[in-house]
Amino acid sequence: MRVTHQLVSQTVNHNLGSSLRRLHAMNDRLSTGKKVRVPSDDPIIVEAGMRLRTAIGQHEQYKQNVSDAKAWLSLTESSLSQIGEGLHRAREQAVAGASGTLTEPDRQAIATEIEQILADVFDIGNTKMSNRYIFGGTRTDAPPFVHDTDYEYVGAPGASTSNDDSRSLRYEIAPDVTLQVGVHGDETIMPIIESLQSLLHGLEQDDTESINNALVEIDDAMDNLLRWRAEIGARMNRLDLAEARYSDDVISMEELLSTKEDIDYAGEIMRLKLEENVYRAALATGARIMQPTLVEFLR
Amino acid sequence: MRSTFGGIETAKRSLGSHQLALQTTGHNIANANAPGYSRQKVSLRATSPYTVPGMNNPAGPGQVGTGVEPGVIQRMVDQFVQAEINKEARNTGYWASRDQMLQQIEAALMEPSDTGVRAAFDQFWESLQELQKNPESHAVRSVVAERATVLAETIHYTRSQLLPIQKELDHSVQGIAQQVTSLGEQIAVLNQEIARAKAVGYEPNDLLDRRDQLVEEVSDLSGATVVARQNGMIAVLIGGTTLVDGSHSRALVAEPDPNRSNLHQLVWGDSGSSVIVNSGQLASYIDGRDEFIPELLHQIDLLASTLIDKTNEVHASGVGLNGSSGLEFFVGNDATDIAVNPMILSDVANIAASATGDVGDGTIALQLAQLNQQPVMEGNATFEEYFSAIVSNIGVSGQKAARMVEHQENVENHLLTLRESTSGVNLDEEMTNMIMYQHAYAAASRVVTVMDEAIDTIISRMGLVGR
Repeated sequence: MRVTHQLVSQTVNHNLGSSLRRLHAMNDRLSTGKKVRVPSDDPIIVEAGMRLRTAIGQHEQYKQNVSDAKAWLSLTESSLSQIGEGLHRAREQAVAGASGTLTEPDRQAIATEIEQILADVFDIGNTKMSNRYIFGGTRTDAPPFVHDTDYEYVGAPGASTSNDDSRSLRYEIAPDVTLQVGVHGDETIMPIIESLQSLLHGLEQDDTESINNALVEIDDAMDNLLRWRAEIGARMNRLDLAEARYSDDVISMEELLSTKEDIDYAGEIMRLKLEENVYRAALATGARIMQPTLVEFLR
Repeated sequence: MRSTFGGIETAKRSLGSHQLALQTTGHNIANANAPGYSRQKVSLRATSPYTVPGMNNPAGPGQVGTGVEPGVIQRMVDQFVQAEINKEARNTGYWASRDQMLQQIEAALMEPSDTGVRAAFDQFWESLQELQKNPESHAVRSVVAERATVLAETIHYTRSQLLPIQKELDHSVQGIAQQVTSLGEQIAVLNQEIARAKAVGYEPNDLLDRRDQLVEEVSDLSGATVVARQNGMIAVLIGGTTLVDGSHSRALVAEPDPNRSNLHQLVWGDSGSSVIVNSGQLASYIDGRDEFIPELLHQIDLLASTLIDKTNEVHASGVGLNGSSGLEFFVGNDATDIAVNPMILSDVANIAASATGDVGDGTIALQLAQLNQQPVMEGNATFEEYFSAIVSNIGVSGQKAARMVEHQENVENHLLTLRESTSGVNLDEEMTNMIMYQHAYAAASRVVTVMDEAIDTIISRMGLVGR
């Protein structure tokens, strides 16, 4: 093939241009640490990256939901535990009060203590978390337990009904999976209040039979309470598992994202060195062959 | 008997021819770097010999040579390669402009990033999840309103970035129409001049070079097919329709498009029929302006309108903190005007998170958050999948365009190498030729001197015996 000077120059130019283009792309990748900058660099990686980012965000959100659910349940648990302690003491007093050997003042003393315990139960029943009542289901803005001066339950705007599922608080902890957080006051605490009120009446009326009946009520309420605390424990376990799973998932997904998007520095730098050599060689040879022409040698 | 002055005539012819050859060499050297220049070669050939007249011929060696003449000045060009270059110029033009357009669109899309539509969607769903857990909180509600506003604005912004690109494409179409028309006129003029030169037997080499260049330019702009006509003229066709035929050229005119307010359509100036192009930059601009971008705008609009409809559907069934119900969450029709309901912006208690009216109930908020899982878009896709597909599509198109540009560069380079090999000027070669012609010229001068002395011997010194 016949070669002309312009051809040589064109070829040198073209090759230098290609080499420079590759160097430029490498520089871009090394400075950003990313294989792709725009979708056309690698549409598949970009799409995968978008999906992963969204998924990681979703998992983090669910993890947060799980954590919030645990906090709610934890407060519920400790509240019920406190109530349980009070109930236990009340039972002991009930047993003492049932004996026929007590005097009137003694029974009064016991009654006063029971009243105190009952007041506590009402208070605990109206526990709030961040200004929201935890035992009222979705009516978080009103106290679920209101009493009069005799500690008679007078109902409450915040009273939740356990047989109305729309009143339950639910958090989504996985796609389309919701968990009920919190418990309904009427299922867990009302029996306790009622049993304590029965005890109180019995003591006030000095009616041993009433007191004994109240004891039975208290025992039932205690069992019920334990059942509910176990239920809460089970939910907490489930949440712990979910939390751990989400943590693991997020880590794997972030690893996968990095694998897809981030460059392998060692490999990229090696390629850079190679390309640099190619570029230098092209420059050197280009310079050598472009310059001499016959004109220099003619007299 | 031989001619007395025949020798001088021969030498004179040599002087003339070699002078012309030197001139041509000088022309080649001068144009060595001119793009599109094809080197010219003087094909020297011997002039017709004559036979020594005489009865019953020959009394001596016959068919005497009479010198050299320049013959024709040849233009070294490979027609096949030139045709291939024109063909490839169309593709180069098409893919280069398409690549540019797609890069601009990618920039408008802002993906992959944490500030684009995808991230805005994700954060919006997250804020709704928080609302589900804490619907009583004013702070959480404010975040929902804020994230929704960001989402609406990001979608709107992305769409609005595409319109200037479309406008620019339209400008380019108009500009190219003018350019092609002008080139057509220039080719027509050249056609005339070439025909005149050829009619009297000349080879208009430089004019032909110039015309080839113009045709190449037209091809890059709008695709061009060349058909030969008589007398060295050509006809140039665009999309099968004549742009130039001989000395007559037609104009491309950009008229305002009656169907689309600020865009133009191309028609032939004389007939008014629309211009059809299927290659070159023009085809790429028209395709981008009329197919690619409108489709993209439609998809973004669909995304926005579905978001608006589905969100409002769910939201309308809920109850706000203040008991309000049936309010729209988003207002607007599509990506041009999507916005958060001003009533919500002014009072976030209007966000309907509850299904029952209880303040702690976040059922509707949850349903809103769960919209991100619903396959509500075309093709049973979620919002995220649909948008992802949009980005992917642009990425794939962009990748293809970038690859084709590179490919075309290589092809073009190869063809240019071939053309340069045939038509390019090699300075060493020209130098050598120059020396050759110079020697021949000097030698011819010598011949004249010798002939002169020989004749002088006869004229001045013959028959001067004894003087």
